[in-house]
Amino acid sequence: MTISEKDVRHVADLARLHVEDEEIGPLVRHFEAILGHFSALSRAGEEGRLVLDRVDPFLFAERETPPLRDDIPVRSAVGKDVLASAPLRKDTFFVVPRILEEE
Amino acid sequence: MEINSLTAAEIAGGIAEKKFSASEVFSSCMEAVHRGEPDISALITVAEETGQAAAREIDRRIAGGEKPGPLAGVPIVMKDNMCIRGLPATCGSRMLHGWIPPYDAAVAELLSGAGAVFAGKANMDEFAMGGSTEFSAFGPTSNPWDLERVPGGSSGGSAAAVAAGYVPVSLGSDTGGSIRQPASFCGLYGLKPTYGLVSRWGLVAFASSLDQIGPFARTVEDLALLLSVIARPDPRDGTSSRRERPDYTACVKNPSLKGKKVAVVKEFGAMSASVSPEVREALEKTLSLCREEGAEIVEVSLPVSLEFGLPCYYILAPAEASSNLARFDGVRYGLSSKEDSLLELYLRTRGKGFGSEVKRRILTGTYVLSSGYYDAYYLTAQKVRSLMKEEFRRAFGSCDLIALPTSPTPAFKKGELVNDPIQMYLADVFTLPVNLAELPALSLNAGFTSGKKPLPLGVQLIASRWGEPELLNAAAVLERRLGIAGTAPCTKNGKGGRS
Repeated sequence: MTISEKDVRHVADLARLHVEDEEIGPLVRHFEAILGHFSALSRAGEEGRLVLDRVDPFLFAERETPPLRDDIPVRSAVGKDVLASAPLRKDTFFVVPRILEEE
Repeated sequence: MEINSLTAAEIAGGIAEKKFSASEVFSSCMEAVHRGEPDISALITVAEETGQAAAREIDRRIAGGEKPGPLAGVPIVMKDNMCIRGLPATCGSRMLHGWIPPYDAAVAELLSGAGAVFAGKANMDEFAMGGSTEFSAFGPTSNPWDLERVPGGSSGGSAAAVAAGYVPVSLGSDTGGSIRQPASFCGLYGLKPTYGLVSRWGLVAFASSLDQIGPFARTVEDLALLLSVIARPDPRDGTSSRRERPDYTACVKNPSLKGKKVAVVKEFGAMSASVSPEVREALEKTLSLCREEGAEIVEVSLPVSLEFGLPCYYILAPAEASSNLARFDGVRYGLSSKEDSLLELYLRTRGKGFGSEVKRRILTGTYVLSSGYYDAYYLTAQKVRSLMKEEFRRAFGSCDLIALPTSPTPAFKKGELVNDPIQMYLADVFTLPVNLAELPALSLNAGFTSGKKPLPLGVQLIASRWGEPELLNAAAVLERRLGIAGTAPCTKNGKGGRS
């Protein structure tokens, strides 16, 4: 499985992660190496050493359903604490750069 | 008696019996920190003022006749991906530099409820991704046994703080070996509990189906003591088990391996060439001791786990990380780059805030989850994970414990693997199947390498789900035979060490 610079830039875009030009080359090489390791799984499947046809991909030893709390309104009262960490805020809002383009 | 060589149990007992005070213990702890830190750099935050205040409060309450908790006055360090209200939590990253959590993690609540005093927050590989603590944005930590070597990772700071004698116990987190491997490199006991035993509320998530918090200690008694405090159900963590917890401290009282079955792994034979001779000898010695103590040595087979665990983990863990780290976007907390558009805010904040290893893993995770690749990678890895769980379940049908090395080598030198991340990944081969299978495991110190600067050698014991009593029992038997490693000599005689 070969991976190109274009592929790496596309994945970076999906991940909302800016990568500098000088980071691209090493990332391509890293991807080539790691995808080589991952190909052990498909090779083993082709050779019959891993039979995955009817395997449940989300197998759990036991399932405990998470507990439900009583359906009573509760004030979380965390607003002040949450806003205290805001890089930029105005009243009870987090301030971010403009999202929509001007008409 | 030098306070810094006391165990947590001895400190709590001594304070309860008024042999010494929590404030004296905390002062001694801070002296050790100030002496050791110039060389070791185990801590990102030293909580001197808040710790002194907490220690004084413990003393005040004891003087007032209150019954002290099981850890009253015991100084403790927590990995910097766990929240303590009012103290910074950086996760070893520029992204969260300066962020102060507005709440306590469940384990922080439980520890302070038991009377423990927080001495600081420990250095770690950024967002728990790494095996050496060299990927911290705040610089590496040194191994107290040899300052030119790594303490392991990603919980390297937590391990170093105990090995250096700052504190008797600490907490780390383990997603693919990040407690067990540093325990192995630093001559300590390190336990990764069964998935679901310890609440992850307040642990900054790396891979939510693999992460667990666990203790480091120099003795099995302390390991059991810590576990008994932190292993509690928590409705705030949807994956926290409500199962009743046994008394872990009872498991170490009259330990015995008579009639127990300890398994070697058939496939390990073919891999043993990649394991250093001293690590192989340490494993053999541990198995001999088990046999002498009445255990039967049997064999189990784990072909899928040992051959395919690595690619499986390095697909699933980065996939989960790419989702968990999407929250770091410059909007609500942490680093925020000044940009003209929302998209640039995300791109540039994340580009500047994350280090190279974290970026590699986010990108890998994004790739394996992306359209066209999800089935071939993520879904395939999930199926392999299910096979591994089944394989372990069958193995535990014929044994009580499985013995393997923790790491193929003792601690390596700083700089040796930092430019070859995939080489570093390969060293996780024995630890990460345990996380994938949601099992408990511990690393124990089984001896030292020969040579001028002896290095600790770790051996790993794995149990079936909820098998912490089996692990603690076996470790207690082996401790009687192997002895206690104690604190590292570098900190006694070296520059910056204690006299």
